[in-house]
Amino acid sequence: MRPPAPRTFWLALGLAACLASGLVALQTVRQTTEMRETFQALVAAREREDDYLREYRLLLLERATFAGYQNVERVAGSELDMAFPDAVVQVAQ
Amino acid sequence: MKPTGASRRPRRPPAKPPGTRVNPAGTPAKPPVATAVFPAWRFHAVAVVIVLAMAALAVRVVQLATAEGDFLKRQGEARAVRVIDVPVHRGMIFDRHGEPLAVSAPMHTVWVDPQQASLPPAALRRLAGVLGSTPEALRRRLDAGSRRFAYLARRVPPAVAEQVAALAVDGVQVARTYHRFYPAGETTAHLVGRTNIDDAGQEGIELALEATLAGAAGSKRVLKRGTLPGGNAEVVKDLGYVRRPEYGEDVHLALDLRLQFLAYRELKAAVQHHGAASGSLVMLDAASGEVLALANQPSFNPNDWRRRGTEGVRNRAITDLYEPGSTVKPLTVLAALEGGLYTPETEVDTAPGYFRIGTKVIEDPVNRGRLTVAAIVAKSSQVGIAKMALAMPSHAVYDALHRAGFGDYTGCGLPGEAIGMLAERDLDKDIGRASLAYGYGVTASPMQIARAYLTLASGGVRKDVSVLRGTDESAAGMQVFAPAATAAVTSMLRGVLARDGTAPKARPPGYTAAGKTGTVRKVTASGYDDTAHVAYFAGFAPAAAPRIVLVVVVDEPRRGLIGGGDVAAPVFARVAARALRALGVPPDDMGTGQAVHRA
Repeated sequence: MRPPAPRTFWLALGLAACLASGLVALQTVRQTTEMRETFQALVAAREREDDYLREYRLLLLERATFAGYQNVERVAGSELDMAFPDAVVQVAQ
Repeated sequence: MKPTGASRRPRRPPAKPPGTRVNPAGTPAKPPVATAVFPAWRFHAVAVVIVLAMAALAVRVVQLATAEGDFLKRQGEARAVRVIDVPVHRGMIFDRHGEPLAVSAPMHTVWVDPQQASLPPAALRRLAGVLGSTPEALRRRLDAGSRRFAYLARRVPPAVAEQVAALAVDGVQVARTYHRFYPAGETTAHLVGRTNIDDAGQEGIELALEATLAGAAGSKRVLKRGTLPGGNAEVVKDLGYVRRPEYGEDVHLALDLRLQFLAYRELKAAVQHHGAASGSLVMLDAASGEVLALANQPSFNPNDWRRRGTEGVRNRAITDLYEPGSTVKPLTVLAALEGGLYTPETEVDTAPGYFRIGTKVIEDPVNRGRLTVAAIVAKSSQVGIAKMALAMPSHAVYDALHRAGFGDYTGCGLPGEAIGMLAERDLDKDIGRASLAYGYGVTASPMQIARAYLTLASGGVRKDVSVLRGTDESAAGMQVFAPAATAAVTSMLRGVLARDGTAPKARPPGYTAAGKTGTVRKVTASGYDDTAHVAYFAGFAPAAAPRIVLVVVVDEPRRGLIGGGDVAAPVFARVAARALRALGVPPDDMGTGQAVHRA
């Protein structure tokens, strides 16, 4: 007759292996899910960054257009009745 | 009957079943439960089955990984792995102070696969209404051949693109693209250049730095899963780049938009005022050789390039070649001073105001008699400078022009730069040497003339010109003229702007300046045309410590006076004065006159 202790050991080992496999599987699923969620967050962050960059460019373009010297001079002359100091004269001492 | 003591024997323990263990104390151990539930043969059988199953799995894994590995990998990738493009933005262009000169803003493209999309008339009408087109025009695009791709509209603003997407017309796709905008418009058109509808550089910096600005789109492998409502699968993982994207870099030019604007405005006003065919202006930083302003007339609007005329596109400051005329006289004098034959006080007899070389007559407007070398420059005497050239070795003037950069690239880096002509072939003839001394028989672009005057302003140090902003405030160069001779010529050039010089109108109010006029007859198929001229003024300011070098060229002024001292010199004065004020340079000519603004 075989002694009973080794059988119990193998049984426990088998159960532990099954349990470990199950835990590893669950952890793998959890990690995969987390990774995909993180990746989606990264994608969303990249899209937000792109959106901000596009908005920045549009605002930069708008500012540059409105603040362009030709525009400033036009507004100053036509709307504010201002004139560039063209009439520079020499004053002899 | 009770047993007696002698016959009494210890009682034997009760019989035990076979196989029962007995501990040393004599008490029986508990019988093992497993023995009753799991017989040994069953344990072995299960173990063998498990081992066999594991072995079978291992064999199958090996089989799948080796014999069918490639096939399965391809099948798996075909279902889940995709290669997608990684778009990149074109870099922006800024002036030296960070003002944007070229910006890419998002636009959209509406396209369709004509072979798959079936657009009913109602859908076409809705699309045409949103896109500002007509159903007939859209139908023509759809019916054009057997293509699998057709644009319905390009450069569509985001708001319109959203309306198109909201229509949800089957087969119509909206893709994001970028469009280049130039806030300064025609003011900086020639220097900045433009891109075409595919965002590729065509002219100017956009073309010269195409690789830097555009970058290169990349691609990457991704893992996709399922499909989204729009038909696109969801990307769940990046698997790595197939081609790493190279993002377009921003470019910072040396250009100062403030100076560029006032230079452009003054040049445009002068060209219109004088009814000229064209004009160019180049302003350089005297210390670094950087291009602070570059303007041409006519110009074009890079934001609406379909309406541009062919005349306005050319960057005349670097492509158009003219005989530089009297603007090279300072270099002739420089050669004379270096040769030791002349000093600024040496007198040359220009009487009777003309002299003959073979059949050619060289003449001044009036008989000026004996003139010093300084006066020859100030009065721009053809006779005087020609006689000086003839007294020098045959290659002296040629060599001076060559050292000043004529016949060579300026290093500005702009595409299409012309190097002009500086030939030795007529140096063995008196007329060849004489005409070269006053700027005929040689051609140069306005940029080359500016570089030559940059050399004078730098004390004889020739520097390369750059349109990009550098890190060094003072660029290294090569000493090509003696500093003392250069200083003497600079002093003579100040006399040009004196009241009795040829260009008193070139004096920038509040500042000293040095420069030289030029008025050149244009060459036609039948020789020199006495009715078509090019007016120049080239110089630098302030004269003692030059900060800017400025060249103004007006081609074929038709209205009023046509000389460089009357057409180009006033532009120099106005632009130089305002540029120096904008640069914060303190006035250095308060003793002879003070600039004030009339109330």
